[in-house]
Amino acid sequence: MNAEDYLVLTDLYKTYNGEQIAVRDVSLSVRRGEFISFLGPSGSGKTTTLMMIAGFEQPSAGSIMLGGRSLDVIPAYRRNIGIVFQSYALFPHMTVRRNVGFPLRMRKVPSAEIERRVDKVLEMVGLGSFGERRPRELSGGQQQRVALARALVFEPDVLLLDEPLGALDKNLREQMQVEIKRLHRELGITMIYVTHDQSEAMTLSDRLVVFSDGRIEQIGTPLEVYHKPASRFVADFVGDCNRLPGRIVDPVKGIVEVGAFGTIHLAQACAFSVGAAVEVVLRPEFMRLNALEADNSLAFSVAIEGLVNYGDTAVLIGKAGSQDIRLRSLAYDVAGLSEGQTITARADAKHCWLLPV
Amino acid sequence: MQSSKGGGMDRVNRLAVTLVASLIGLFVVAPMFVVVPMSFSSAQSFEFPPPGYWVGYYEKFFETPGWLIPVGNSIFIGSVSAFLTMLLVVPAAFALVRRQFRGKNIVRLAVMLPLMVPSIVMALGYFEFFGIIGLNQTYAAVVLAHTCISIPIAFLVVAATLKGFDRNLERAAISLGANPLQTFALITLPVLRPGFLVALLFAFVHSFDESVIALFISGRDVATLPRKMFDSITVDADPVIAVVSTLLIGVVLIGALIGHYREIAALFSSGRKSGLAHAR
Amino acid sequence: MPAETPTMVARKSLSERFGTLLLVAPVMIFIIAVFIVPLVRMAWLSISDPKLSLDNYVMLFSSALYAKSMLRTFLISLSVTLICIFLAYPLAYYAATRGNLWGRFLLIAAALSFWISFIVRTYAWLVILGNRGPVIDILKTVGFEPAPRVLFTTTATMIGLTHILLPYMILALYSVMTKIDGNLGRAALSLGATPFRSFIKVYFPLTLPGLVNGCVLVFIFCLGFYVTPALLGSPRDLMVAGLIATEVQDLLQWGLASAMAMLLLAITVTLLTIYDRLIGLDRLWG
Repeated sequence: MNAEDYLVLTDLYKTYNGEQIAVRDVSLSVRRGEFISFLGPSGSGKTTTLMMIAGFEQPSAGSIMLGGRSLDVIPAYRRNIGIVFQSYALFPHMTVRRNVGFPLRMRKVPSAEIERRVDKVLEMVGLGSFGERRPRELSGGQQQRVALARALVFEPDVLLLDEPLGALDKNLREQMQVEIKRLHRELGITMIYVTHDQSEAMTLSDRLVVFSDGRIEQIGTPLEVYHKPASRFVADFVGDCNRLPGRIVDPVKGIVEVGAFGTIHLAQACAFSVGAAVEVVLRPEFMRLNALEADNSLAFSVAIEGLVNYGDTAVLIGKAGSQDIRLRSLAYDVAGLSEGQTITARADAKHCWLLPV
Repeated sequence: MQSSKGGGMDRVNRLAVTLVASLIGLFVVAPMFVVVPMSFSSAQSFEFPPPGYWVGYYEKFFETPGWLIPVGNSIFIGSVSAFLTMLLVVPAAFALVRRQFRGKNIVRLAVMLPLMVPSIVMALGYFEFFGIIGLNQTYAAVVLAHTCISIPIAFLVVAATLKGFDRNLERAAISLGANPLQTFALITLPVLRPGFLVALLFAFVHSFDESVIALFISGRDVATLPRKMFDSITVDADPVIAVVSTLLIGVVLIGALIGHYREIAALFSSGRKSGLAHAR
Repeated sequence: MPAETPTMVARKSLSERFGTLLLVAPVMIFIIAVFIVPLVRMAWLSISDPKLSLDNYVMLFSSALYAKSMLRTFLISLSVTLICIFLAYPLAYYAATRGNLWGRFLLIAAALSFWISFIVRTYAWLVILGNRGPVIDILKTVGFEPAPRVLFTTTATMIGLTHILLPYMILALYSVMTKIDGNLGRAALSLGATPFRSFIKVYFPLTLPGLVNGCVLVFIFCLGFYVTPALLGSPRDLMVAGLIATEVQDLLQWGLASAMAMLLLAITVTLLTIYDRLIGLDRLWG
């Protein structure tokens, strides 16, 4: 068995009552020890897919293989898969120690061994002295760490996390993201992380799976998904973007005409046919103010409609002709600009990405 | 800091509301406490304020089988009917809260029906019904009748408890290796237990305090405490009733104290802390 | 897309369906045997005793005794409900809008009354309103000699019923009032309303669901109440429940009593059905 195909989802379908299709055509191959994020809006099928891996939902069609074994006939309580829920799901009538020791008790591990392993894993999440507390005496972040400890103590094959940080405030969330990443590095465990927060997915994952409407839109590394979105949905969902109308002039030489903003030469254009209409995706941070004229670039004359200053960066919103433009730069660069003014912005061809229309 | 959610009123209005509310509160609470001094009254009749005080009627209560047996009966009937109620209600609640099936609305309606019928109607119905099948004036009849009327109340509490139960707890247990039976026994039941106990208590109290049906079907031998109390007022004019009333109020007060003891303890400890702060 | 095979779907449902049946059957059988059957039997008696006819019902509507009793019951219930509204509202309002200790204490006091049985509370009023009780003493002191009878009158019944049913109204109002956002009133004030108008136009309408809730509860309870009117009320001016009891226990008029009971049941069910259509029964038990 290949380390590449540690967890394999093949053509998963899930329907409810034969009518609602929650998940369709989901196929994915996860490498052992990889950190995968399922990213998408609510109702996109990412949690349903996770639940099918966990065994709480039965696929209507398709198969799931783990370590070469088919999971289809294995009930949820024998899959050796750990889960961390957004609501923590800590057993309220048990202390932290009893919570964390629960999976070991289910596996009939001898008590001395249980104590040892519980101690170890509590230390690992930084809650060594909290063993005798009850869940209701803990803060949100602490509860989440206990949930992690409990899901890790029995050394599962895969760890599933269902929007685990959704209930925490911003600072705590960032802290916990670091914790989770650290645990992943130390333990090397295969993790699948469900979230609707794209920046979270980008920072944590080895690879992203972008879901929309029950389907997978794209699988790739964070950078791939960000710079080379496979569809308009991915381009919009993962980060901000400008979408400019364009037309292929010469596929052999890779020449694209981008409206009134210029004509550029882009290798990617070779994949299209002559005259094809395309959408040019340009991230706001790649539009430069005060840039010198250069070859193979686009130029925009933007009438400023709004300026939002974040202190370190700023977003400039305006129109170039009838085209909506968003531009992101250092705050320093927009100092002195105001609404109503017209400025020139440039973008290099290498930052443009083409999508079929 | 006092929160004000009333929508803004001036001082005079606020004072007026406080006064009126307090007076009404007095009306709600005070009359019941008339029975306390009455229980120590030395008079034979229902004279208030009592002419003199003694504990004679307390002694009489604890020595009279005519009173003690009904107390025992009520406790027995209350316990049995409460348990029977839970046996019937808990499975049905699981089905109604967690499952979808045709006829769900009918079942839910059926379970709530006894709450919609006035006691006197049930009392008459049971009087005729148990009379025909020869069960009048037996424990079985009262237990069955009280179970029936407690079903809606217990159901409401059990259903609410179930609805508030986080299903992820069960999923977590399963993911950690517990099979469905273990999950139910080790996780589901223990977490639901407090709510179930409340339902049990409600069912017990509902039966214990029930008077109308008991009046009609319990008879002399199986007399419940409320029935004995009713008879003692109308027939015997027995002053011991004040003792019983006082004891019952006392039980309720103790129950309330126990039920809220955490809040009360918190009150005391925070009071002590602020006292210490002052002392510095 | 591959379709779900019919056998898979059917197999899952069958064992689940059986399980559901097992869970629901006990309580359903019990309700039918111990609740439906007695009521059906009573309905039967109402038209079959002493002979198969609607005589009993005719008697109820044509005889002055019964008609008066029903009217009396209706009026008493209405009055008690109205009085309860006026008494409960300030108290519930105070407890809900002030987060302070006294408010919570008042609420707990009201809740405690719940748990104390009707008979105990009725007995307390028996003492208070009795010939040797404080009320008569006060009346005598003020100058009423001989003192008017208070006990064993309809007034006494109303006082007792009000006292017993007040907690229901209080709690029904309170549970709605606590959910009202305090900022709504402040918003009204900031928009220029006087405190009075803010109350009438914003707060009061929001409390209406609780008010209706409480009224339905109190009214229906009053209609069928037996204990308090029996102990405190006048034996000549009986309410419906007392009349039913007399017919059965003293006069052995099973058919007639059953007819009255069925009528009471019909009125109660009608009221609840109207409430359900307009608002929904699940609101009643929150």
